[in-house]
Amino acid sequence: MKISIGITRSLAASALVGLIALGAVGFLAQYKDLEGLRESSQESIFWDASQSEAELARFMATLGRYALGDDSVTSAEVNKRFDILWSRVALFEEGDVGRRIARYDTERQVIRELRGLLDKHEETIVNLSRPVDEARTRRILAEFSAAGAHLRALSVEVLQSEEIRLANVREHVRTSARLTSFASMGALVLALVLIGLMLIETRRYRRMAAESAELAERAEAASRAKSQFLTMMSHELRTPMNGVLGLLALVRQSSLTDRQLRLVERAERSGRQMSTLLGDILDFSDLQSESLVLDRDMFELASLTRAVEETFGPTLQREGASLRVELSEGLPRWVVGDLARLRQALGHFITYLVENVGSKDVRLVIRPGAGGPVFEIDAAVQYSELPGWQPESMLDREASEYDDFASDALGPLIGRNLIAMMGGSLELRRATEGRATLSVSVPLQVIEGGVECVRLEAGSVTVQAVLGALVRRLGHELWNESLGAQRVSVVLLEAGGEDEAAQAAAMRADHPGARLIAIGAPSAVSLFEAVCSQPVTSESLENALRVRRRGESEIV
Amino acid sequence: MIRESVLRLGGSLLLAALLALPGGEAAATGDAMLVVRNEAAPDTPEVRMTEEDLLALPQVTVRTNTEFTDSVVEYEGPLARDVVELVGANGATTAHLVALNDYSVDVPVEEFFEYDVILALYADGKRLSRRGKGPIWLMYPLDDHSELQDPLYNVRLIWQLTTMELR
Repeated sequence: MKISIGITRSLAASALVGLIALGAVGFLAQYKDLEGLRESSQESIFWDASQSEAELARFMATLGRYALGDDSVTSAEVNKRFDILWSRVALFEEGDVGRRIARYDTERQVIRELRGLLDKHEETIVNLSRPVDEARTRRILAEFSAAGAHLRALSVEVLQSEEIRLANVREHVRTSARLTSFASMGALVLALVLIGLMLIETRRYRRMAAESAELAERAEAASRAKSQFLTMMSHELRTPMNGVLGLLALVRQSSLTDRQLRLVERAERSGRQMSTLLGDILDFSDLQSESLVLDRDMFELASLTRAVEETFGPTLQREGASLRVELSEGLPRWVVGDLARLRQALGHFITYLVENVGSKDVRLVIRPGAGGPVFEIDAAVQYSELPGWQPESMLDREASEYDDFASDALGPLIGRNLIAMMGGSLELRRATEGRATLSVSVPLQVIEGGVECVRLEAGSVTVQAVLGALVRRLGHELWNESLGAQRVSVVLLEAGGEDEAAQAAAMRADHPGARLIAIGAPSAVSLFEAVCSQPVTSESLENALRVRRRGESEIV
Repeated sequence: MIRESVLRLGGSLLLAALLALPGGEAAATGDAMLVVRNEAAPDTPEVRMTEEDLLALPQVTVRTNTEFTDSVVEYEGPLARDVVELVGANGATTAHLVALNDYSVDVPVEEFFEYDVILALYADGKRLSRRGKGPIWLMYPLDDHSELQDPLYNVRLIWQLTTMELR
């Protein structure tokens, strides 16, 4: 694992370094691009320089033609060319264009020379008129001609410098292209390296996952073997223990002295404790292996209280403790759940409080709760048997805490697990000093609207058995003759036979207050309150049982 | 001597090219400062605008920097689209602009309507002179639109404008 983390870290670090490097290269390429773009965006000063040269030539040509007596050329035309030449000089004296050209004119000072000539001959040109002073005009042309040669030299230098500038732009673009290619290639190589490393990592993780799965499988197999061993050992130990208890019971029935009888009773008690402990180990093993399955059947809450009293009362009495069981008002009579396991869970808590905590006064109150009946075990806890014990420890211990797990914690642990399997919850309160109340909430299905007493009249044994199971599952009571004819509230009659009408009439006569429900397809629907078609399901039977009115048959 | 000088200059290729220009510098505009015509609508007479005519149009101010000035300058003059409207665009897509020195440039007419392009007569309150960029300098609001920061628009800043021909 350490090696794997090391590789993952170096993978991330190398990716990060690579990305930073590529980012830097990309930034440099962008910078070069921008530099080239800026330079290429500048006005071409060669154009401005050459235009000045052209305007000088045009002025000189116009002035020459005027001096030669060309009538098509006026002094105004000469002045226009003169002004345009002025504007070219003005162009070089300001702005970015002027500054860039001035850089090439520091030695020759052509612009200054030209401006000097314009100033010098300003008056002559402005006041130009015929006849022309040939000598003066000749001098002017000669001077401007000399300046023109210098201007041409400046234009050539500007042209060359512009070429160099454009070459720089091209170089910037080339450099940028090279850097971009390098960055792209680098990104490609980096991506390939990362993909390679990721493949290696993936393979490593797969191998580790396979190893982990194998280890988990081995651990599970070991756990299964342990559970099987525990189950087997519990059975193996309980069988001889039952033999011992049986023999002790026989011994107790023989004529014994009082001392011998006490010894036998002690031996019996120890044997029962061991048998109970073996049963708990068996249950715990089933809970661990998740092989314990809860039953789901209808039972009366009163039968639960009776079962608790009958099962644990004598034991607690022997311990010198009293157990009171109370049923509050407003409780449903019938509920659906696992009576035996619920009794076992409650018994574990009660037994623990009496035998391990030393409580001499335990009260079990069953009262209505929001999510079903609540079983409150209220006990006096004086902490005499277990110094430092707190009631909360009943709920604290987890199944995984094997290191210091005491056998006395097994009962509450099994109880908690059973309640959890039923979807219930536990809460501990200490409302008064010296007493603790453990509230066990279990969401038991409540049988609403009372329990029907159902008589089954089916031709086949199979249909009889299926209907009986469904009736019991729905929490209703199956009728038998010992309950009396008046008890029957519903008759389920398998219809479709030849004597269907006669059977229906007989049932009406025997049970005048009962509802008659046809199972299958009756010949005369009007004979029944409801019809439940085959195959019968819990839902269809429940719907049929809901039909109360007589006279209107309903097919469900 | 004068003839020799002229012939020497005339011998240069540059001068030969300049003299070969159609119309050359003889393109007369009379008293008009700007001639506007629409070749796309031959029936529409050309408009010859004096300085007073240009000043009579609504004056718009554009503040911008250019490569030809040292800093931001406030230009003032009529909108180019107002001048175009004098002859009507009538399907013309290009404005062929000609300067005093025969320099010319083609500008899409739609740009006059997209941007506040003016025919600047004043710069920082001073009348533009023929010895500078005057009397008319076509000015785009370069600083107001990033897409105008391109050498293409340096070329379109034609100064000493004399003719606007819509095509």
